[in-house]
Amino acid sequence: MSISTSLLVEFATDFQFTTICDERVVSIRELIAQSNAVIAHAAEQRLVLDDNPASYACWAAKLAQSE
Amino acid sequence: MLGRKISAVRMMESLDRLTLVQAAEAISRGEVRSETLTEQALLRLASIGPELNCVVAIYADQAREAAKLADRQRSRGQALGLLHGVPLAHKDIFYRAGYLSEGGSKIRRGFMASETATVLKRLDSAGALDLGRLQMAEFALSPTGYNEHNGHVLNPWKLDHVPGGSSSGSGAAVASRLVYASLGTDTGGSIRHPAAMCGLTGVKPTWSRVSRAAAMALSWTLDCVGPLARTARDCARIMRVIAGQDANDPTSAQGPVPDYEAALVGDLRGVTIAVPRTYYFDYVSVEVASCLDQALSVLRSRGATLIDTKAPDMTLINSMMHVIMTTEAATIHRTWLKQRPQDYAPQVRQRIEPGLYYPATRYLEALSLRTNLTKEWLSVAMAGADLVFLPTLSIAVPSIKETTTGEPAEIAAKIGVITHCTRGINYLGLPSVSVPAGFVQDCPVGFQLVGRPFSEALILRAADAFQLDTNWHEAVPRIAS
Repeated sequence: MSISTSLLVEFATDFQFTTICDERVVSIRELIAQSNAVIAHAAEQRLVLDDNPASYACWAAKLAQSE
Repeated sequence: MLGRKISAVRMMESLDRLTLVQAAEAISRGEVRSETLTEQALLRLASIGPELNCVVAIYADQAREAAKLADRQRSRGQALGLLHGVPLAHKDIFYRAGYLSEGGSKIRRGFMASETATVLKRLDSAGALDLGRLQMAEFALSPTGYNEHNGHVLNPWKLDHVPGGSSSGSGAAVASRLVYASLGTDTGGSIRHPAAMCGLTGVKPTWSRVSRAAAMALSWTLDCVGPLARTARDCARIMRVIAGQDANDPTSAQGPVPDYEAALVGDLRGVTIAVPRTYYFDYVSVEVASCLDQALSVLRSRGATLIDTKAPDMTLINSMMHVIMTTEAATIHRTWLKQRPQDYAPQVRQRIEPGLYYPATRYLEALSLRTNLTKEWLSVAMAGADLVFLPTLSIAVPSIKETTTGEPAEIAAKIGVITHCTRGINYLGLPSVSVPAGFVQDCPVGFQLVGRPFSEALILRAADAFQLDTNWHEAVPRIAS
């Protein structure tokens, strides 16, 4: 996965309304790309239609009740 | 018994050496006045506090009034709370109406809270006294306690070393016996790091067990509020007071709050503890490993069964933690990042900035996979056991210089090692206690016991059983003498 530096700068400037210097973008680009790829891959492999971003609290409470 | 020969400490029988529970019981029995303990704490906060740079503000007049009232209530035979008259002070992240709350930052300097954190209200209701605000890492964003604006908090055991963060002032203040306990917050290890590095017991509760209402947020999905204290029993008492559903925090869990102290039965028969030998032990130094091995022996001697397991894919779990923490922090900080970027320390700003770049889908995927990955971690790392044993910090406590000099990438790598064993637990939402387990290079070492969701009673039971056979938690740094 590759995200160009210029695209990242544009993204941050246009969509987040904040500016980060090009040097800094270069330095975090690899980290972002790496995490992006890891999460995207995991989502493709594991995420099912019924998974819900808010399900964790419900699951944890049920687990505690069952023990 | 382990740990009896601690050359760096003095075991003095004096009031500041009492544990929180001992202090509360001494007050309730009329053996000591709250005013006496409060005067002593105020004196120590004003004298030792500046030496460690761990205090932001002291509320001396209010504390004296509250102590007088506490003593009057006791002498009248009024019903007393579990923490009646006990002097505490907390991380400068909790709001109290009419008082400043600055989050260790330049940006929030002068911020006056208009509401009071639920956890402070609950401590107030239990009779605890709030003596002031304690230092912390800027916006709770450093596992070392790094704070460029207010200066570094010093580790009471070794003054040129870090105290751990982000609840750095809480760690230094309780370890040097300025107050009996302190509340901190933990988003990636911020209670457990200072607990381990200062020789304290610290609890990161299950996510949602303790209200975060009117505590400055860093990451809603990961933030937890919990105690730093001297013993597991002290933590159990505070947890009983602060845990439970809160109408002001819609994420707070509804389940009943157990009597955590009643669970401290002193033995571990029937309890199985898993030790994941992969990932978590990758960076463990020989000296730290020796302390951890001794700790495991004590747990076994108390009746626990130990089994070796392995960790699942922690790269995945750490990536999930990173996207959630940075995205939520960037959302909270976006306006300030835009308007006042120069008012963040570069090390702090750089930890937030990646959150501006993740697509929303990645963030939501990380949230959606949380249940799935927690089940997997419990299945693989815990593998049918009741608890998981992990290092808190794999290496000896680093010096301030080691964690502040070098290229940003070098510093980031060092921070990564410090949070290696803690940050994933926040994504998993699991409860964890850090327990003192010895000394390496004159600084404390700690281990974690991690449980299933809402198993705080069990992690505290195991920590308490360990402390019955060790006295690392009784060690006092020279500066406190």
